Amino acid sequence: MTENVRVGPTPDAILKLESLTIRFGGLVAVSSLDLDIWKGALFGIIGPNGAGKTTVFNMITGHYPPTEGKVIFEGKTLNGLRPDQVAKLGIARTFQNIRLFGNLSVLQNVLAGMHCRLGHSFAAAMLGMGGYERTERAMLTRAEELLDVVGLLGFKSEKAGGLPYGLQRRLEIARALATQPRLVLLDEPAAGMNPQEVAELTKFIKEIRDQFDLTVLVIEHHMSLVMGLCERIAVLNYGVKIAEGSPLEVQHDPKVIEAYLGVKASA
Amino acid sequence: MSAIAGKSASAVSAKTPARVADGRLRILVYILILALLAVAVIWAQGSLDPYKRRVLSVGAINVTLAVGLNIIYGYTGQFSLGHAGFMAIGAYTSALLTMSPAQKAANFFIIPIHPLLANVRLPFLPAVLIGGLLAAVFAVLIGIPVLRLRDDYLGMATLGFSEIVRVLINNMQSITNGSLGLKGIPEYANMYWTFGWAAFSVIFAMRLAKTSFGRAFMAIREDDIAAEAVGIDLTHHKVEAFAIGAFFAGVGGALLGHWSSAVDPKMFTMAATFQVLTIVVAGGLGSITGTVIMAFAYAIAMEALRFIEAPMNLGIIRIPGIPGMRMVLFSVLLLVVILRFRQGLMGQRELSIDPILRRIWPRCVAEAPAEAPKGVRG
Ligand SMILES: Nc1ncnc2c1ncn2[C@@H]1O[C@H](COP(=O)(O)OP(=O)(O)O)[C@@H](O)[C@H]1O
Ligand SMILES: [Mg+2]
Repeated sequence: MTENVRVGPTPDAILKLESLTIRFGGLVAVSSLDLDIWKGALFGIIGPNGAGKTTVFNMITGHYPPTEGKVIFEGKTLNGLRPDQVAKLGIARTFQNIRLFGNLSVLQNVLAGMHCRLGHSFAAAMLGMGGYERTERAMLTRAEELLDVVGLLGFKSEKAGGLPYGLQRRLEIARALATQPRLVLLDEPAAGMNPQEVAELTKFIKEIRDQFDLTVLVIEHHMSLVMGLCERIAVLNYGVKIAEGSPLEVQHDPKVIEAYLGVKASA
Repeated sequence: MSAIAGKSASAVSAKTPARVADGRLRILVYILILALLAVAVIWAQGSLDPYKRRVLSVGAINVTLAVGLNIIYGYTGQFSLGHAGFMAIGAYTSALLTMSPAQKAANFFIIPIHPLLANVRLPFLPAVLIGGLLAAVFAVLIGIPVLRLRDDYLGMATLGFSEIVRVLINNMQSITNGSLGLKGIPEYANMYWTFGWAAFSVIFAMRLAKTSFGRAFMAIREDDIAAEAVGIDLTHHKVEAFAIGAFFAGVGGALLGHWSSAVDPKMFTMAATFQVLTIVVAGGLGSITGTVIMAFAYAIAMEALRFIEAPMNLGIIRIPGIPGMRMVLFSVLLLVVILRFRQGLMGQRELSIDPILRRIWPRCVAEAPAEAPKGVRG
């Protein structure tokens, strides 16, 4: 068994899920899930389609209320908070089916992500008073920096909805970073990418983790990306965590092999 | 994806001086346009015949009303059919505040007016403002429960609100004079007022679109789940947009009352909302310039098409006048727009002064290079 390097004597969990459960009618989509995500980790959640991965994200971000259990972020229980409140506390996300503000420009998408940190009243913004103009210029500068980071500065005036698929994924990440998160949830960021793009994405996620001092939780359906990226992985199947550990441990776990072979041989 | 290490702000901040000069020039041009408009309105108020003045005033009132709905529906994506209710609140409130005690006594001959209202009298501006603000207060009260609903449900709920307002006005005899309405409202709403408010609403909406709040509104319109996920409080911002739109509806209603000198509950039926909706949709949801153009086009068309409601003599056949034919025509127009030209006149675009500015002073408004030159990178 390989000891994970990040396990210290007192691992500092930024996010704790405690026996998190959600039922949709008769279906138990996620069942008694316990998870500790350490600060600064690149943590992966994998599992076959319909395993409940996205549902876990939706419970963390307040989109779905868990039937049972708790979500604890930096020591605070998030249960009962609305998604916008969760975002303000420092959790940002992307969506499996990209959700951009399609008719807004690329730049406006990122700026909209900064609105939740705006320290000005409506009146101050409308009148351009109380330092609002300075804030607006600073936001513009920061938005352009973020777009530069994801390689989209050249597209800043384009309509977000008109971007090619791969660029839309990057824009969604830039918009998530604009909210100044400490934890980022990426839902299948590599979907629809070729191996070279996946390699680039892997490098990129590591870079932003270091540059912005983030903890990253990635959902992936493709084992390959997760193996190259994540330091630790949890495997879900039918809403139940069947394994957790380093990529190596997980890869050789018979239960994981069975779950994956049962669905798709090389997924 | 470019490397991240050693990135500095210099690449982007290099454009800032040009941007500031650009902003100043733009403001100058806007002030110039406003000054020209002011001169035109002063000339029109003094020289045009009353008929033309009336048509133009209706156009200007339409602008204020439609800008309000565009902020709710066009910017924020909330399908509201409650405009007539807010217009009624603004119209009645302001009228009761500007009418003379004698005029009120003459109006309320069935049941005397409520003693609290009998003797109040305010100048026009505060009366209009209070009318608009009261409409906004109602918007907040009903918005908090109702704006959780989506699309057609929201439309039905706001339509219901509007009808409730009308029924209440019909029945609160001692406050509203019921179905008799109010007559002899001072005709304060000359072109200075109607165009002044129209200009204010347009400037307000255009400024709003450039602020962080405007972007939040539009983010909600585009995808409310994503908006919430980036920390935008949906209820708060929807209610804010709703209250702003209701304020302009209230102001527009107040102007309408002081332009026509009479209000009654029949002015604020579904048809009134429908007119404003037609203007906003035909102009292009989210486009303020589209709204302005359609607001005047609508007012002019309503006059120009008056003949289709008059009896017509086609040689052998005599068609009797059919009141309401114009509304039928406009309903067909709205249908055609919705079915064939979803984007309306302008889509979400605005007529921009930039192309003209670029001609006059190309250096200043030159399109900033999208990628900064490599040499500037830190
Ligand atoms: N809002 C919902 N209502 C009912 N069932 C849902 C809902 N969201 C997800 N599910 C179900 O929960 C299960 C897990 O879905 P999901 O979390 O999307 O899986 P994945 O691991 O592919 O992301 C699926 O069976 C799905 O149909
Ligand atoms: Mg999923």
